[in-house]
Amino acid sequence: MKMEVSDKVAVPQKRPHIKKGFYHARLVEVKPKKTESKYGKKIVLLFEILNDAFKQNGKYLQLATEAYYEYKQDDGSYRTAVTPNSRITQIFQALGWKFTTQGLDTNDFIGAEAEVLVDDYEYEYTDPNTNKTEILKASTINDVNKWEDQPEVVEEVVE
Amino acid sequence: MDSKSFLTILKYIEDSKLPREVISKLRSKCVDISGELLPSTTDRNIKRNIKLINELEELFKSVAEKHNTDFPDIFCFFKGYKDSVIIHESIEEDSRVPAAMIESLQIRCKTNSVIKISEKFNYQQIKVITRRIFDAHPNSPLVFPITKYHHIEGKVIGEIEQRKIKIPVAWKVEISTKEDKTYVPYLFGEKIPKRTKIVDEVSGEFYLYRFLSKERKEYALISTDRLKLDDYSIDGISIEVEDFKIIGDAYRLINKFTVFFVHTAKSHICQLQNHKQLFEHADKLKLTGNRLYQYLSSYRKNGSIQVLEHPKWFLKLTSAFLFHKKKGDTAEYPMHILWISERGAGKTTFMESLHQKSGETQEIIAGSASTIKYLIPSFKETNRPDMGALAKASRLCIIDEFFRILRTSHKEREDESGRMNDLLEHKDRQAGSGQGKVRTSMTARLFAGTNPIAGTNNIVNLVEKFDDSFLSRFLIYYQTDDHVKLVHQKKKEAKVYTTEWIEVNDFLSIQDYLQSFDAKYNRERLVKIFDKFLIFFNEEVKGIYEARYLHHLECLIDGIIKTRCLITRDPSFKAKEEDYQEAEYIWAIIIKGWFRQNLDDILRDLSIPIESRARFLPENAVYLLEKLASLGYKAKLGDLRDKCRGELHAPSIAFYLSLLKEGAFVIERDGYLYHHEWEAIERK
Repeated sequence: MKMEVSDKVAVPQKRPHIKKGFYHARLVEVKPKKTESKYGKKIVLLFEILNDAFKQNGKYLQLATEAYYEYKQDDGSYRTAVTPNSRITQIFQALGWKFTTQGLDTNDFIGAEAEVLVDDYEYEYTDPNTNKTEILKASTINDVNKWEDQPEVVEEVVE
Repeated sequence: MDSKSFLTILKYIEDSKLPREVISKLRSKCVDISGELLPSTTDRNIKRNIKLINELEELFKSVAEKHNTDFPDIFCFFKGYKDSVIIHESIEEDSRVPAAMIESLQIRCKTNSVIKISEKFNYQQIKVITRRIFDAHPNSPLVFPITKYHHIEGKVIGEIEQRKIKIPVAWKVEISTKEDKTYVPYLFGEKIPKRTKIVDEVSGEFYLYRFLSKERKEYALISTDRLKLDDYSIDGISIEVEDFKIIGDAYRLINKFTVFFVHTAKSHICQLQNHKQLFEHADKLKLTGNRLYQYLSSYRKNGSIQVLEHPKWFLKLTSAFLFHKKKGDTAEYPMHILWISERGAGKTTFMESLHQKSGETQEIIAGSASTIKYLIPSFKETNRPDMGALAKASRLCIIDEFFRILRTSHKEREDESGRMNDLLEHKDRQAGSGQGKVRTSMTARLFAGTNPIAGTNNIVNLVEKFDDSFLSRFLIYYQTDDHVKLVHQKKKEAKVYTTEWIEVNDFLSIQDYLQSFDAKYNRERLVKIFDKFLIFFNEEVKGIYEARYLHHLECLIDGIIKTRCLITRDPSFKAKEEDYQEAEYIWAIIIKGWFRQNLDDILRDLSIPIESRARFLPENAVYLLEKLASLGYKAKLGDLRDKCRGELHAPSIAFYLSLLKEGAFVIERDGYLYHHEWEAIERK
């Protein structure tokens, strides 16, 4: 059987890094984190940074943040993390949710805009060509706040 | 106002017996002001002129007071200008046509003909074209051009004739005088003088329809192509003809009726062409699920937007109702909703809010003041049948107090309701009586709300009162207690307002596009959901459920998938597991509502499998079961009470626990409470 061959190999990628600060962003995806964290289960919220300066191949730069959605209890069961003062609640309230006991559907906030605080973190990067390891900085979202649109321009009425 | 005509007032000053110097002063002031007056062509100019006239009027008043005299004619002149309001002006249309256009048409049209011109020529210009072609050729051809001068959007509400008919549109008229004979062409809409002789005419073969525009203006539509009874965006030329309205026993009022010659007709006003455009449009509107549901439940009044809170599942049902594509084997028809609840449960306000987003010119139909004849075609006037409100609506027809329409003729209620059946299935049908006939079809989906009058407060009684075939065409929703409770609770709380709104046309373009294609789903999976509920029904109820409820369930899942894909920008429009779960959840709530009165009997009926009955458990009972499960499916009463204390009071715990015990959802044994799944869990 004749098979196709490709010389492409998986190359460790440098993680995106932009200047620290507040950026206008849009939520594009919410998915559960595959591995469980220290205090329970987390979701990953993926945001697009709506800044043309960071666009690559016509696509906005994407950065993520995480939040607990279920805390592990002593007896091994889980309880919801969506309580009035939790981080997940604050994130979704920033995206337009009003706290209600009717439940929270993360799908309802895809496309919602927010102001995100981008901060740095450090990670080890091994260059595949030189095999040299170095400490690099990458960006992460540290906080999510409400995005306030520009006030509408109202045409002045001339008598 | 030109200064010359204004200065006519000077003659009234000359007639007065005032000293010369006073007259001279008034004259010069009048002349000064007349120089400043502007032509009365715009509101702004008129305002300015009135200001100047007021100034002059003050002067005249002071002179009149000082010299003890009066200027009645002058004050009358001022009053006439200031107090009159022009409500309609007949502005003459431009009649110039480029010579080159006429020359080319003269070459093209050498015999009597009806032609289409893709230019925006008005009626006056059409007349010029016809006359110039008529005069240029020795055989005087009659030409009737159809241009694209007017644009209308709306719905073809009925077909006046089943086939093409010949309609004369231009005439060659002989005008004889003693000396000679002249020939003049007359066009459709022009009045041919009496004592003239028609010597030639040109006719076209046309289809004839009735059209209702978005501005609620009715047209007689004349088209060379066959049109569907659907929404259209049409270019053509409208011509007014004389008509009569009978306003008394013998008096007829002359009025103008508009006839519209179609140049081009574009079916359905759908702006979006593909998924990519849909998502771009949604991004532009910053449309999220949260925003969509808030929009569906908000009501705009005097500039402020109030959010009317309803359960989330209900808003999902509403969006599915608006977005699903019609389904069916031969004729495709949508899921209509019939919402039944007691007064004050939020029906009317919700329907009003829905109406604001429908783009319908037709108002909400008040069932308490209407008869069924208002909904379906009726034939009171000869040759002018009324199409009925159901057919007139384009996308959404909303009826409040629906059962009151059917109750008006109490004895024949069954037959009455059945008269809507064909329309509700969106079938293209001909209706007629001795007075006339008309082909008509409904394109809108019906959202009806009603009180459960005449003992129809549960599904069993409802099926006894009304025709099965009529009822099966609706997804019947008996408002659940939880829903009613939420509405009542929100009424007591402070009103919630928002600033977010989506313009109707923006929303309708999304709605129209989503209604234009099928989402992909597994039908077998739906049949399973459908079958799960059959166990609860008696023979009568089973009848309506089996007749059309699978169709409604398909419509529901189609709408649920589209809503999710729209808000998550998923271009697959293919069902996911969560869509089936959502559909089953909503379906269970709707069916649960049918048994509001005898729900407890169902819960206690041990002959029905426990998994089926579990769907109908009240929220608090489900909460108790969940807590019992979290305690290891087995707990002492005191432990369970402690666990639930934060959410439920002791009497509530006792009440729901007794219900769970009677239904064998919880078994009490040896001082322990066992969850019905305890044994299965233990075995694992």
